[in-house]
Amino acid sequence: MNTFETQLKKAIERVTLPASDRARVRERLLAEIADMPIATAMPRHVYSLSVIRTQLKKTMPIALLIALLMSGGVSYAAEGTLPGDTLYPIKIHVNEGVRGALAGSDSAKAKLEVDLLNRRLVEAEQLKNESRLDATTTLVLNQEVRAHRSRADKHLQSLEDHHNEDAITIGDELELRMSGHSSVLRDLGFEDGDDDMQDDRGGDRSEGGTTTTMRSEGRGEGEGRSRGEHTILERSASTTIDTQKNGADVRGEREEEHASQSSRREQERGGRGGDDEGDDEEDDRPRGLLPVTPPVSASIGGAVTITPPTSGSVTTYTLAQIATHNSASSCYSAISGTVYDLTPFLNGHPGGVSAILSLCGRDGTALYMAQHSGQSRPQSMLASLRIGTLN
Amino acid sequence: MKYSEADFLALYDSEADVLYRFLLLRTNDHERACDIVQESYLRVWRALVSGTEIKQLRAFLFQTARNIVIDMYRQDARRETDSLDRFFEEGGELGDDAELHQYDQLDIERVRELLAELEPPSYREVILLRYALEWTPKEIAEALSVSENVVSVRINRAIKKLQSQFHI
Repeated sequence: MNTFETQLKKAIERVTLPASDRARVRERLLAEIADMPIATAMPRHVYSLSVIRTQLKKTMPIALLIALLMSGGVSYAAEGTLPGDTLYPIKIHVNEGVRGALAGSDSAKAKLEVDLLNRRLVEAEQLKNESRLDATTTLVLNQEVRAHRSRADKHLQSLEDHHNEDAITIGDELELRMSGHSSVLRDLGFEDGDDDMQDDRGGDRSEGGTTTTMRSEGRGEGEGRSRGEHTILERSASTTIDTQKNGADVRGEREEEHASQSSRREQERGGRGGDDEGDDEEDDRPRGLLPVTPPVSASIGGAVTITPPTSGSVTTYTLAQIATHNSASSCYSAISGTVYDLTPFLNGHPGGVSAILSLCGRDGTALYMAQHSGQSRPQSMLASLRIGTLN
Repeated sequence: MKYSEADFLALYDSEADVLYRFLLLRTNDHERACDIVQESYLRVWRALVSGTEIKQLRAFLFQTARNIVIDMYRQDARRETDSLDRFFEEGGELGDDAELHQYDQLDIERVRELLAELEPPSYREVILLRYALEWTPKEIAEALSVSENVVSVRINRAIKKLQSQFHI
């Protein structure tokens, strides 16, 4: 740098931000820091707070939680958040967890679950209005709604067992909330289980090969529609659904269950006939909620890991069935006689998405062998994605 | 790399002048320059809070500022008048608030005059980017959508021209 250049540079460098403005901007930044503390910064998905959730259940003293809630700040700021927002995990796992811990009776608990379920639905509507209801937020809300519904049902059942009249009031409120948000429920991948919608179930979907599942005793026989066709929720370990029922025929069971539950409730109210006592096994499955097509590729972005069942499945698939899963939203492929759900792996493939997409909906043996024949890593990755065998 | 609030404030304390310097000379609008400085830092902070992966905080700040400046260029292009050109054409003065050390005042005044007379406007631009914002020729090339070579040549010629006028 010649002398002139140096001088020029030095002259320019003598321009500085006046002290008063420097202080003013700094204050503004400090205010921003106070508003949005970095302590809450974490990856943008709600599963990151599973630790807190576990703590909540196990060791964190309730007094501390109350202090946390009452102290405002983060917890307060989190209240207005939506799925996808940084503080949302605080809201649903900490704030609401505290409420849960404080709710004593079954009535209070059931009521709380109904409230929270309603809250999730309102959030879903908000997100939808803001065009932020994408695969990830849909999945989060779907799981939350399902969990709240399941817990509400459990508490309601307990109330019913104790002939507590709250069961009816709260149950009615639940139905009201559900029917009031039927549109957004569908967006979340549920189908309203009210009587007028029940007939829609099963029919069209069994052809599409998307959701209808087999009854336990029929699992592995017939047309092999079960395992991979469960909704993501049923495959998710975090839901409270009784996994032993995994293979049950949703449609049939839903109807029986619905009948049995309405019968119980009708008996309480002395209403219309409730003589069709279905199965009486205890059932945590949310009533009136039906899994339909999984929200468009819940595995997008790899933010959510879905672990398909790996053992004990003897599900078989035909090539025609596999052919219906030929896109990024649902990608099945048959390789050497085994059927794999490659959807969760689409974005994880080191060789890119397109290589996997070329396998979707078909027998990918030749393509796979050409690329990875004899390699152990691809093989073990595949093994974890196995959902059945080729018929 | 995780950054703390202290890191962020340190970044403000150490780099605010550099940003302001460029923006003031670029816009000749003290308020606007302050606003953009603030906006740049706010964006960095929000990125930190949102969990955006940031390897180098300083680099990220300048990338952010660069984006804002590029937006400014686009706006200027729409107005079909370069703000710096307009400023000097209108015989503008540096803002009163610009805190210039008394004993250096002549120097910067002289530089300002030279820059005012410097033609074409693209020469001023590269000088400011290079010496006020301390961008590398490569960064300037990206921002102006020209080749790095063009930038280097432009800087060289601008310096030579300024220098020749300085000694007149």
